[in-house]
Amino acid sequence: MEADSFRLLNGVKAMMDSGDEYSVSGSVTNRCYIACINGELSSAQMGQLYDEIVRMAEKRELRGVIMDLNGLAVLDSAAFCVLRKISGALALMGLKSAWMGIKPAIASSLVDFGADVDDLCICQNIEDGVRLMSFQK
Amino acid sequence: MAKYCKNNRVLEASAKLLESSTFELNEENDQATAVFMTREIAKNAGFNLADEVMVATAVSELATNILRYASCGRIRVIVIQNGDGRTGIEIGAEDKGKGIRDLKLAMQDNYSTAESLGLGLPSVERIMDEFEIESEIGQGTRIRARRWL
Repeated sequence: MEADSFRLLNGVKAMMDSGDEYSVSGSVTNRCYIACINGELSSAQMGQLYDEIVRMAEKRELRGVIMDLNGLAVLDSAAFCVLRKISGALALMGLKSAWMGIKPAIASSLVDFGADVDDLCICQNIEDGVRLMSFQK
Repeated sequence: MAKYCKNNRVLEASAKLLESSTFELNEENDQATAVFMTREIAKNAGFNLADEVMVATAVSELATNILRYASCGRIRVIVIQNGDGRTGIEIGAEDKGKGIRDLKLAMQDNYSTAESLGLGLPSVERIMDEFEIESEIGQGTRIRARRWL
């Protein structure tokens, strides 16, 4: 079991060294920026994510931002807080935002830890998100 | 030393240790390692995907707290078995930070001294079946939490 753990740890280290532990990639469709967030978000990376998305939203004439969370390994309350903060900042900038791709296991953990998800705009796929951006008031 | 237990139940000392892994937390990458490894440990122990993510989320919460409030500390993830042969995961988190002044307050929803929603510790308590926290001002904080299969 220890040998397995050691091999696994080496695998994680290789992943960390290659910088794969966290990444954001994005594309613009119908004036909606789709931000794909992958990996595990640390506090510094969360701050970086906030800056990246808000700066991107400011630069381009966007209608809104869709945050694709399908690549997230876990979503703890600190990361949840930053994502909410991004949605709040975008709203103040006059942009709409939607969260997409929340995996069932992450959805269960969010409900279990009592995250307030009532006023969040959630979409199932990009088409849904773009449609929401067009009609949401 | 102040102590708080979920449902006023102290963790049973008789649980048998099957496997133990310790993760030192000194920098942010250590948190990602601990979370990734916890998912693997939970999966190998027989937890389903939802529970595996749940236990890893608890580790992520505790690691965030350690790095944010104490700068460094350690998390131990242990596969355990109780007297009835039931398997579980125990998470032990400890730091030598400033300690928590009011444990009851810290365990309330939306209480936070940092810029966050203040869901951290209460969410770990909710996610895990058993939870206890001990803290002493100037000495640090120790948390143990268990989730059973």
